[in-house]
Amino acid sequence: MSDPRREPLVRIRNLKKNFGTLEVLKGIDMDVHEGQIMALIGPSGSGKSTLLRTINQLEEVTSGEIWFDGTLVNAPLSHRAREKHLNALRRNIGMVFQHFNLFPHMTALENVTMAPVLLGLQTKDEAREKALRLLDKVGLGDRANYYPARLSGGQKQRVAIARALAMEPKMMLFDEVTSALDPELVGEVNRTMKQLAQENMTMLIVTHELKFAADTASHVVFMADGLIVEEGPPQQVLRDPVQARTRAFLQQDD
Amino acid sequence: MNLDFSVVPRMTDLLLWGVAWTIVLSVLSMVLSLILGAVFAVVRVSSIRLLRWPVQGLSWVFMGTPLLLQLYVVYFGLAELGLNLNAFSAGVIALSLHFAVYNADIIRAGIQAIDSGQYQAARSLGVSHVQAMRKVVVPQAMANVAPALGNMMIALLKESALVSAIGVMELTLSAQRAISQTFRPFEFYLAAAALYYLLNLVLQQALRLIERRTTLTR
Repeated sequence: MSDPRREPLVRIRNLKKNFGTLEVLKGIDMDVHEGQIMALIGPSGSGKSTLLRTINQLEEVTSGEIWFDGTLVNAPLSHRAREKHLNALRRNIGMVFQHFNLFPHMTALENVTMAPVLLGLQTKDEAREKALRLLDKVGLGDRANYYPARLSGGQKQRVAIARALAMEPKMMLFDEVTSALDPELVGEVNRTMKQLAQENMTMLIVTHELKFAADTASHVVFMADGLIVEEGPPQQVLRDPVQARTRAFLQQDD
Repeated sequence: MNLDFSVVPRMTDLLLWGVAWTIVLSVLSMVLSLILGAVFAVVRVSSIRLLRWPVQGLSWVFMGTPLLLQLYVVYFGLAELGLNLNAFSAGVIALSLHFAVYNADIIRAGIQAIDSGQYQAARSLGVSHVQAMRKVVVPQAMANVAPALGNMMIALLKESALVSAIGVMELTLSAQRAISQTFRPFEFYLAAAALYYLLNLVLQQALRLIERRTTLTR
């Protein structure tokens, strides 16, 4: 469990993000502590995915601060310095996408080994051995030499999780990772995520699956219209919400 | 008109010499034009204007002027400036640059057609922009535009005949030599044409093989 006295792994302060004249994030304050499993829920267009993507700077922010592990993520730097800074940051933050984004011209194994080898963190042999262990862990040891085109959606997503884990990140970001899956394939991906949660991985999960959030998350954040409306333990936010906006959202979902 | 192809075999050595040099000249230029084309394409889609503009300018020049003049300029013009290239190197440079700008346009379209999620996934793992382009985006783009690039390679093989104009002893020039020795222009021009055609048949088969391999893996 997270220790609230310790410095949070992620600290977000007064974060704002505009797309042109559209305000997507209107001032977010949020902490993610080490070992915490945080679920971000809320209606479409509430800014959940955008918020997630600002943490590894796939999305630049308009104003505010994001701190990760003691460093300011969105520090004002020259182009070159920023590139270096972001590459170092992103090695420590794994991300899994809604549409898998596996590299179709590489096998499952090559998808997992690419980054660690390219970045010189592991030799080819080490990376291969490690990737096989990770693929085994997500239940795909026998699919190492398959190209993504020959994998099911659930299998692709599990390879994507293994790919992110190969960098040994301090935290994982999950962006609606089961939304693009056939219903019968959701379970296998959820099980993999639960397994990670049990291993104390710090996880930030954008999801539409309230049941999964209730089962897995240690903390639930409800967002609407670019703001955090309510947050707390899953039993409280999902079963006994304080805010009317949260209640309306949860009722709609039933 | 009486055609007498019996003169052709007497010049076999000369023609095969020409074929060999056409192959060397073309294959070298193909490889360079593809690598340069990929680099130009990546620069053209980059956000760095200081890099983008010179490449844009280069591509206008090489698309807007005849290859024959480009060969003359690289060979004779650079010599005036004190840069003495042999005819073969000048030929390779002009051919490579000329086709690189066309390849770049094709590859650029291929890059823009790749889902941005591919680039983001690579970057999210901490690899640099250049690494993400080189390992993830460009290989997929190249595979998608392989048929169009293949056509450019066939064109390159044929256009390599122009390099005869600066004295490289490739197939066209060796046919001309054979003609000046035998005074049988028609026979040797037809023989040379047949040899170009055969070379392109082989090239087409090779391209088909590459295309099949790159699409199989997807």
